[in-house]
Amino acid sequence: MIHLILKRLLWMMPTLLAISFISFALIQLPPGDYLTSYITALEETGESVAEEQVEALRQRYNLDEPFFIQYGKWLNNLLPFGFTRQDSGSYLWMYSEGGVRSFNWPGFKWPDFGMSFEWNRQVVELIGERIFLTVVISIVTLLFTWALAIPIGIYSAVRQYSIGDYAFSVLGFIGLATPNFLLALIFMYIGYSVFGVSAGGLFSPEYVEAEWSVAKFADLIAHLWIPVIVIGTSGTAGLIRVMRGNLLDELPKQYVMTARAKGLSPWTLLVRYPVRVALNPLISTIGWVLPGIVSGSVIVAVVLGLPTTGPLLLRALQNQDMYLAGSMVMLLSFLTVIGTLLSDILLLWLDPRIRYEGKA
Amino acid sequence: MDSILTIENLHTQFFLDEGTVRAVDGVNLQIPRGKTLCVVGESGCGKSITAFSILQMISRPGRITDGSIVLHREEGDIELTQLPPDGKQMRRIRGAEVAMIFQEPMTSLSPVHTVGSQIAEAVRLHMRVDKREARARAVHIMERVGMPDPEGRYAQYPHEMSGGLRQRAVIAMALSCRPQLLIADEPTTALDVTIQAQILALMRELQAELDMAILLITHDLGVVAQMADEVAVMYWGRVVEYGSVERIFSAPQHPYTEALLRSLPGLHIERKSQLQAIRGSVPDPFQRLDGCAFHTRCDECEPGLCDTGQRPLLHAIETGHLSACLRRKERPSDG
Repeated sequence: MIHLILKRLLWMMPTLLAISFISFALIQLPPGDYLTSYITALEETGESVAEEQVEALRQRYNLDEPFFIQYGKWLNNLLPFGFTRQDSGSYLWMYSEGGVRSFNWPGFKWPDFGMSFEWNRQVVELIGERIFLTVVISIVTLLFTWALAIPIGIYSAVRQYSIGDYAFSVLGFIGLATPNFLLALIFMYIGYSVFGVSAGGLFSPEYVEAEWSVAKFADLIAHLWIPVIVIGTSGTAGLIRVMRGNLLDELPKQYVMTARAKGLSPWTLLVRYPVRVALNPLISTIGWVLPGIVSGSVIVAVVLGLPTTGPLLLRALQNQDMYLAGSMVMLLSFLTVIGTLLSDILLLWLDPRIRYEGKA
Repeated sequence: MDSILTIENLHTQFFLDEGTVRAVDGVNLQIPRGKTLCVVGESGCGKSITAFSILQMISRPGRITDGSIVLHREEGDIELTQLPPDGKQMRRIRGAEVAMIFQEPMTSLSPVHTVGSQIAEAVRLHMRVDKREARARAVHIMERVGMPDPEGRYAQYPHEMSGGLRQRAVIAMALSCRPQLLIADEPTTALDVTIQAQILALMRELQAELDMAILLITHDLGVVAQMADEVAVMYWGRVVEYGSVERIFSAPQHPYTEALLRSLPGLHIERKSQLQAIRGSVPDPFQRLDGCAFHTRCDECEPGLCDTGQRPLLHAIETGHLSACLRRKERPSDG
């Protein structure tokens, strides 16, 4: 099993490299370089830009060099292990005061995703301050989805074609068909008119800038349910269908009969055998949650005014804030790859048949 | 006759949108204690449904609609059809007193649990033993059914074993609680002929050791000849002939049994002679037929006698040999 995981890790490398290349190409794609658009933007607001400043930025981002050199330097900046940029602008050589040149050995350093021109801040900072709440929302949504979908899916399969099954199917399809943003608006209205929760955002206004405290946490919980339900509904509806279908495939199988003929009680039998097998396909989709953490249902987040990474990505794309957008696209793709690996490892651990194939 | 189980007038029906299927339509059977009763018949004649009815494992839309199944135990008789299908009493009987093994060894074990744990689970369910003891007993029974390296096999998954080994594991599971009656639904159909012979030999060996009765369901008359003490021939949901294996093979008393035997290839038949198939096919299951259900395919059918009235009941041709054929009457001696 270790062997298999190592092999998969090794195979991930070229994939990640390809992704980084495409992301960089994306950053370079808009006509002109971003400095040009940056200067234009500044001039529009009436500020003038000093020639030296432009030259400094040009140096900082290696804009005068060929595409591949730029890519190499950008990649080097991204990695936690690599060459550190010297004040002279060189990556490979260090110059001491006497003008003596020595090799600049690579080492561990903080990854540098570049600057966001729009926010005039480091990309790492921008993503970093939003990622925590995004992760919280994603994980709570995932738990909500599973906690609801799995029992309902099991019920629908075991009582196939019963009134309950039909009721859940209808509800599920309505959930699938309703656009998230519409649901968001409805819930905002309900939240405001019935529960008096301020519409939008994850905090009441007085807590937005406050330090973390028990009261702020309670405030978060009070606000969290709206985005969780809104984001989770369609996923829940889909998952119910998957769980129901999987279980219906397993129920008539002979091993279920064997277990029943052993004298197991219906409940133990159900949970220990067919449900256990039917869960495996669900596990393989766990990995898809990771990219969702970053892209985080953009439209819902915009409608609800959530301080998550989704709206950040949308704005970056709209404003051609290419370091920010490119970094986020790359992060998304990375997380997809890593997520897939994680669910594969989980499956490997859960399903002996896959483990066996790996050995063979 | 000392029987372990008595089935009387059993009716099991399936209520489908297209109509009602009378899968089991008035079966009467007695399973002798410590012996092997083979139930034979074509596909769809109700053999398996009869077996499932005994354990009350008929799932919707099927239901036992009439009749009784009585298990004769040392503590006294118990009528199984009166018990709630998944109630405590029924579950105590399943696996402990009446065990069942199935046709497909490839799919009759859970793919995600080790073989050993599935056997030990049965032990834990019915015997008051702790985990270690259950494991030890499972390993012991695995060894008993001829699985090499039972300690090592305990932790293996079904897909790591051959079909023959899996069927041994299934038998081990079924016999782990020393049942009085083993129901085997075509246990060797999916196996190679050599493995088939080994499994059948094993079943007979364990039968003698545990003094258990076997209800063996098969469509293979070769298996019947090897295994059976008594034979019940089923057609269209009902037993049409019942007798000892010698009588059934040497002097069958129902045209359907005769036809089945004629369709069996033997070593001594001439090379160019053709096997005889039974003409026609099993009637549509939604249909209701008057008289003997076999009359549509029977060469000896006598219009006016065989195709009218109620379905004929079994009647004794001689002691221990019963037939439902309207044209065969009791005979003074072998004829």
